[in-house]
Amino acid sequence: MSKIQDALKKLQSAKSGAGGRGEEDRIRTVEQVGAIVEIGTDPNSFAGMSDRFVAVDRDSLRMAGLLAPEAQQTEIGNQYRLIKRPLLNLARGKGAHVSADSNLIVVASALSGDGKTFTAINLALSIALEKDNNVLLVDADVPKRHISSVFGLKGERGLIDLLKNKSLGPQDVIMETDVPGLRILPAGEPDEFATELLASQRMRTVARKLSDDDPNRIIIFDSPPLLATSEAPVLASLMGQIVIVIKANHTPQRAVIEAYEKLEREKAINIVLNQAGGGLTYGYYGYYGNPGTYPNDNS
Amino acid sequence: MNQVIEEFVTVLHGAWRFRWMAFLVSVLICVVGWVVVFGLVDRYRSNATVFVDTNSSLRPLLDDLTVAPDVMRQVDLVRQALGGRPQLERVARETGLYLRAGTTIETERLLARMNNDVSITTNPRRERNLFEISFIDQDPKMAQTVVQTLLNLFVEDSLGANKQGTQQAQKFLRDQLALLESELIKSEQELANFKKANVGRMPGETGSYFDRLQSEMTALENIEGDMRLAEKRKAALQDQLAGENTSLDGNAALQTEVDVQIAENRRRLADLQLRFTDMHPDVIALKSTIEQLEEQKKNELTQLSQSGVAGMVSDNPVFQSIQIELSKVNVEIATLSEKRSTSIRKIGELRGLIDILPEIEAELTRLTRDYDVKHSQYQALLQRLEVAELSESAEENENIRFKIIDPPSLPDKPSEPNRRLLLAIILLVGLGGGGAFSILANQLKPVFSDIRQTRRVLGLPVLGSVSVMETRERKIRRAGQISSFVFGISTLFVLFVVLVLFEDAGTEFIQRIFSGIRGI
Repeated sequence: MSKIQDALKKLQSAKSGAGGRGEEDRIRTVEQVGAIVEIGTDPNSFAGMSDRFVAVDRDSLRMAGLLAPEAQQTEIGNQYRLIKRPLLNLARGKGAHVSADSNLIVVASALSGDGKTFTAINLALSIALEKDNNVLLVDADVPKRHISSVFGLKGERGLIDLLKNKSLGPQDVIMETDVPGLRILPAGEPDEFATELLASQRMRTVARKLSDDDPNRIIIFDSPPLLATSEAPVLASLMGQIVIVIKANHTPQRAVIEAYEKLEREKAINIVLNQAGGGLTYGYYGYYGNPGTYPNDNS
Repeated sequence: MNQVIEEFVTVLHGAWRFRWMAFLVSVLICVVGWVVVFGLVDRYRSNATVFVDTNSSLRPLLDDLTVAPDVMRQVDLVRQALGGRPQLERVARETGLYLRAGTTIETERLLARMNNDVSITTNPRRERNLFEISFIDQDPKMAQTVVQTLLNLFVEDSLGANKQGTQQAQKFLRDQLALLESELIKSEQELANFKKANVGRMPGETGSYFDRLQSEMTALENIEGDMRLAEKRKAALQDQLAGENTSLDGNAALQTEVDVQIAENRRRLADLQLRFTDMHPDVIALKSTIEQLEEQKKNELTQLSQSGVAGMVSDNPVFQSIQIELSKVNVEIATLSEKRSTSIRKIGELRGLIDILPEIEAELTRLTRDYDVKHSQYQALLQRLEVAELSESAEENENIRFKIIDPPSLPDKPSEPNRRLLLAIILLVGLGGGGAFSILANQLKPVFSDIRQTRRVLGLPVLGSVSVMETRERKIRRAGQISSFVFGISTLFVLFVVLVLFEDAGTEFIQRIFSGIRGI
């Protein structure tokens, strides 16, 4: 509990200290962020799923650069609204690539720093707003564990434990949040065989179980970079949909193409262009009639 | 248009990533370029203007008579020729430029450089007779000297070149003339030989041939006519002979003269013998006469018998006289026959000759024409030679006068290089090079800038794009990037300005370094 107290203290000091806008606007790398979120138990746990609870602190997320600053909230929120739509459509059984695993979505990228975690979190938050769906955000980026850190879940049991210990079930590791519709599955205890575990049959079984448990559930996996690790493509092969995040004006084309070649072609692969800005007609273009919105549109 | 701007902005964004490397490239280009510019040696240009006066008083007189040397063309030729190697070598020697070059390679380079730096031009828009001669060199004095030397050469050669030209032309003519002469003599000889060989058969004389033929043919006709007559007579006589028998008693239709004389003389004798005795002198004389006549008759008879007349020797005086006549006719026929064959032969010869007469005529014509042609050629050439000689002497009198309008100048300021301009150009090149570099780098390592491009490159659906989060920190960082880069660029400009201001000091400094390096 001391850890929790520390976290609370930090949070309070951060909140009170956050006078000038400078504090708020400071972008820090995810590594620098410690446990800034409350951890507790929720007496009103959902449908017997879990009794573990996490409170999502948007301000902290913003400070960590994982949520849009308030001025751009609406703008970016709308962008994610557009982005999530085809994913949801496919998950619900509309479109060409429909498969049983269509509700398993991995957010990947070619290299690190392209904005995977950012995209995963925001996508999850956006989908959580859906009336008909709920979201499970899985931190499968076992080496780095961004999401687990950011939500202060580093020490908690998670995916790795689930894979190692056959006696555990999803409900034992999934954490509820104070955002309705959003649940989080942390990375879990570090293990030197994490790669092999992710590539194991057990992972397949777990993924299938998560998928089948609730047809309205959308499971979003945060994955390691496709080019840096060998388990990322393996993970991707278990998924129904793949989202590759590209950082505009930064990620080299070669890298993305290489990463793409590691994936199975039959998968529903989509792109999200992160940190794209500028362009005289950008706003227009990005909002209206974006032909890339639907997975079936290859024009 | 918007699309173009968008793409342009995209490229800029991409190139921006490489801005510092591009800056390095720019700096490198600028520094190297500027050092080189300062290392360039000052050169001075010396100019001279010359007026070529080709109006002389002789010209209008000579225009018709002689080959008026086209003065302007020869000046043009000289202008080309002056840039030729032998002339440049002369100039290099006389002006002392040769001293600058040591090895053969250096000499070559020197001459090549001279070839480039010497300029002899006319301004076509102005007076066609105005020539500008200039040379550029590190040493202003040398430049002037070179131009002066060129000027002198120009004058000399213009006069000399033509003279040499006419002399060469004359030599050529003379050679041709000698050749033609020998040919002409040969031709003459041939003609003479031919004429000699065909004397009497020449076209002018062949009229006689035809006459001769004609007369021969007429003569032949006559001969044949005579022969016919003689044949007739012969036939008649033979008839008579056949009719007459060999005895005395027979009618003597025809009597020869001798027989008549004999008969007369016998009658006279008979008369005399009535009055006188045989001792009378007249009787004796007459008797001897009769003897002589009988002798003559006997001779004729023997002649006849010898000449093959039917061996009829008889003492019938008529018969005998007929025989005599017959033999005469035979002789005549033989003679005529002889004449006839001669005549026929002659006619044959003449005809033969006449056949080849056209050939002879043709050959004569050919030889004559040949000779005539050569002769006229010879004459023409001879005339040209005379004309050339005449014009040469005319030229020596004709003054191609040169007037120096502007003497070779001694330049006090270098005409090249224009350092300021070059420095500016280097700056632009440097900036351009850096820009090009960054764009190239962007092309080589491309990124994704917008949805359209992403979709195009990957062929995958793009769900959407998320805007950059404009936090203050980001803005500050951005501003910092831009300002530092702008600062870098502006230092380059400042450096440029400094260099322009301290052009001379810079030049001196760099050149001293260069000569120091060369000295090592």
